[in-house]
Amino acid sequence: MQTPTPTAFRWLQSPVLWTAAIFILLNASLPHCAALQFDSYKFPYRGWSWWLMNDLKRSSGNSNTAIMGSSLIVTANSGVEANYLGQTVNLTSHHKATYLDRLLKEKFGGRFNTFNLAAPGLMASDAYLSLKTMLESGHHPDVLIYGVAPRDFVDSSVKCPADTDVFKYLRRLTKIDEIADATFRAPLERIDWWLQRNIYFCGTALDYQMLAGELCQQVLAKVLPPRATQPPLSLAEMETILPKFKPAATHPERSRIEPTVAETVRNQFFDNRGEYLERYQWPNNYELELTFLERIILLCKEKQVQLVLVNMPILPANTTLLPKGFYRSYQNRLKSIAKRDNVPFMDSCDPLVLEQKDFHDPVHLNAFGGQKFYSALVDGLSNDVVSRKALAAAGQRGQATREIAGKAQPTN
Amino acid sequence: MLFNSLQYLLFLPTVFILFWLAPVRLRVPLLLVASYIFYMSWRPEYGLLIFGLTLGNFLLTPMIAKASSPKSRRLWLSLVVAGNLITLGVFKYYLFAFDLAKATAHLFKISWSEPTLSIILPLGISFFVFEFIHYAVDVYRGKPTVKSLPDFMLFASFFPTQIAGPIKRYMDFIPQLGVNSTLKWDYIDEGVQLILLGLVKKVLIADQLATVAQAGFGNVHNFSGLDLWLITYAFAFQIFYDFSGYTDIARGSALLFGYKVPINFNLPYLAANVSDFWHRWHISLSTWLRDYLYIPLGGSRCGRLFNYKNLFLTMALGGLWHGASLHFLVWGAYQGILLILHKEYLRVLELLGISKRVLASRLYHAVSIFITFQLVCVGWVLFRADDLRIATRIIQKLFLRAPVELFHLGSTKLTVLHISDPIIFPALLLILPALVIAHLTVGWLNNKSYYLCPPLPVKIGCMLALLCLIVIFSSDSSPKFIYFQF
Repeated sequence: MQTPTPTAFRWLQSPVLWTAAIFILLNASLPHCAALQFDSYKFPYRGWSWWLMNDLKRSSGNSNTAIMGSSLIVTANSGVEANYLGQTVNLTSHHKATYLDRLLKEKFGGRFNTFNLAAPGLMASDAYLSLKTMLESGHHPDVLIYGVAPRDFVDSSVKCPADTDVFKYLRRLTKIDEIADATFRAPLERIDWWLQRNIYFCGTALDYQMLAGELCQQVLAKVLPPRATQPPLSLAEMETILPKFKPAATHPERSRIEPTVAETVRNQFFDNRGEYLERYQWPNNYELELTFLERIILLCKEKQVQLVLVNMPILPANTTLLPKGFYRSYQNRLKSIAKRDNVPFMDSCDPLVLEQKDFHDPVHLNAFGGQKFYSALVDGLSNDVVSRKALAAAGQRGQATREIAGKAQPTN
Repeated sequence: MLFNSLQYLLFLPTVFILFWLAPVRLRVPLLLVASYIFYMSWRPEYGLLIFGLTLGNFLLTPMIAKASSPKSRRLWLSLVVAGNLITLGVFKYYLFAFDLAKATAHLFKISWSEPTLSIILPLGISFFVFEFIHYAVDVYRGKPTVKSLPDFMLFASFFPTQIAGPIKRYMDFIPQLGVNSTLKWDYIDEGVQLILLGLVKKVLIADQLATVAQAGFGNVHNFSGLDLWLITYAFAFQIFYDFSGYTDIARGSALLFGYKVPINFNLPYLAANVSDFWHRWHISLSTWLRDYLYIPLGGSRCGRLFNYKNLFLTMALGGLWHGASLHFLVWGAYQGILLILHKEYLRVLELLGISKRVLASRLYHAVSIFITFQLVCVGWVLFRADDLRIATRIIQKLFLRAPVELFHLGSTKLTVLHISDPIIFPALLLILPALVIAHLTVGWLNNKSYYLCPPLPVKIGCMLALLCLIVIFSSDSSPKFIYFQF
């Protein structure tokens, strides 16, 4: 017969207490378990940053220049690249700017190998993490050209810097302790952050989810071997069936940019003011995102990367959607920050250089606008003493690196 | 505030600690404040609505008891019930009523432009109203009134059961207030165990199956008849695990304060007939419908046809209670028809003199369970589909296409097997049988002492596994509990 536990010791029989104690022990010990190390580059879906960072991980690290920015840089560069190379460019794998490399070489001599770190929707906070991850992964460009526009600081669809898919992925690759206070401001966000840092299973939940998914795949492959007659559904079919499933995934088959002809492109101007009206609704995070620009400047100084800040060209049709006087004040803020920190600043938003025919829509340049933008940019860079010096040195380093690599290659 | 949210993870322990630290006389007011905070975290202004409704019922219901003549008692009862139903109607059924009026006007070629109103359905109002009606009817039947306003307010707004039940009975709940003055380890152990189990049901099973149901019921044309059977089964388990998970969390949360609330489920998919199903599914609702609708309508104490009419009406109105939409009404009517057919079937068996030995055989029982499950699943199609048109298309595919596909299985392509991500689609072929086996196993284990009171290490192992699973699989984008919309 079981003897009843005396009331004073009833707690010893409590499964809740025992479970809590073992859970705490597990959380303390599992981070030190070598067998349970996860690949932080893995993610449940392949978004823009996944493709970028995995490309960076594979590449050798000899890029002497880098460009960074949001879709404004992506569309301009990809259109120019497709036309310049005369072939289809896949945005998930082509992270180069060969046309810009040529212009830089012509202007500054030496050799340039630019890595395109731009990604659609990149906020200043995302840009900071992208740059930090790049620098930590053994890549060290001499010059970084960062193209910005008002949306990169005020997008209303982004309530908190941690909301973006870029941020969600990059926080796996780099530590974000120094920006945690600025990023997680609401009490619940802070608690969530604390849990992620201090509870092992919270911090590694995504890794365990992916592991469980892989195990399920393996079991299913054995139990229900896929037959040749069962091809997977097409992307379009999947989007019909599950429209909200992994919306931030970037599919290679949807990321192809074809070479274009000027007449065709100019007849395809698209009015996206409705979308930007939504995006410019509440510029709440403006000041916060500007602090990330300042962090980018500091990081560049610390790592001895010459930063060039560029205000990207956009049409008045877009700037007039912002609150009255906002765009002018934004331009002035950029100028004053750049001046204060001795960062070369180029304001490319000049209606005399770029007009509506150079744009896909009021904010995104087409291939021909992109070409003009790059030409104007390189001219501007050569007129600025600091940029000129930095790019000339970068070109020389690029040349030297290539020569060393050439010598190191075995000859047949 | 959802049960599976970080807010609740902070809210519940805070209220728990404050509750047990507070003097006994302050515990009810404390829980009351917590319950209003819980409710108003969604929409503060609706806290006033619930307060008004509660106060109105608290003040008016005793008039039923005080009324001198049966006629005035009946009048007061009608007033209280009508007041509650009008409130429910205004918030829940106004659009449905306008749609019906519009359709009727269209039928008679009368032009009708419905007024534009933007009324948001207050969370849990259907549950509040049913509890108030139950109180009024019980008082009318001679049960005592509640003397304390805080007690009555807590009965109505008790946060664990506030949004989706279980529908409580005041004679069960109010006597518990203030009785358990000292915290017992059993409250914590059983309460936490139920909460963990409920969360796992929701996060690990219901939320995964929700993806399948969402895709299938939203894109009927993309799926074959056999796919749709699988998807319907998936929804059957989704709604069970979602709602029973919710109920477990509600019961567990209540238990942390030493209160017991009624159970809502008893392995419903092991029901051997539809009547049995309604004794096992959403028990607090089905007993409410029985006590406060079916019996007042006359129940079975009248002729066979009247009894069937009562059954049909009760179930149809029960269906409409779930949502102001025609497909819910049809789902309820379908349940009513199934109950009537079952009664007729029993009558025929009796007339034919089928031996009781046959009816009690294991094979007959197993076949009955299988058929009942299929009938219930067809009902879920009516319940889950966005409208009747979609439900009809699915049912057509289930009954006309699926048998043909089954006989030509080689050429039939199961779309679920073509979707590799999310993996839940092809995994359905393994998960659904596993869930059926789990249901049968729990049914078999249910009265085994080992299962009811396992050894401590087993309990700890299970709780630890549940805890780890919840932490790993809890997602920010977890869908709401299905019954939150009702």
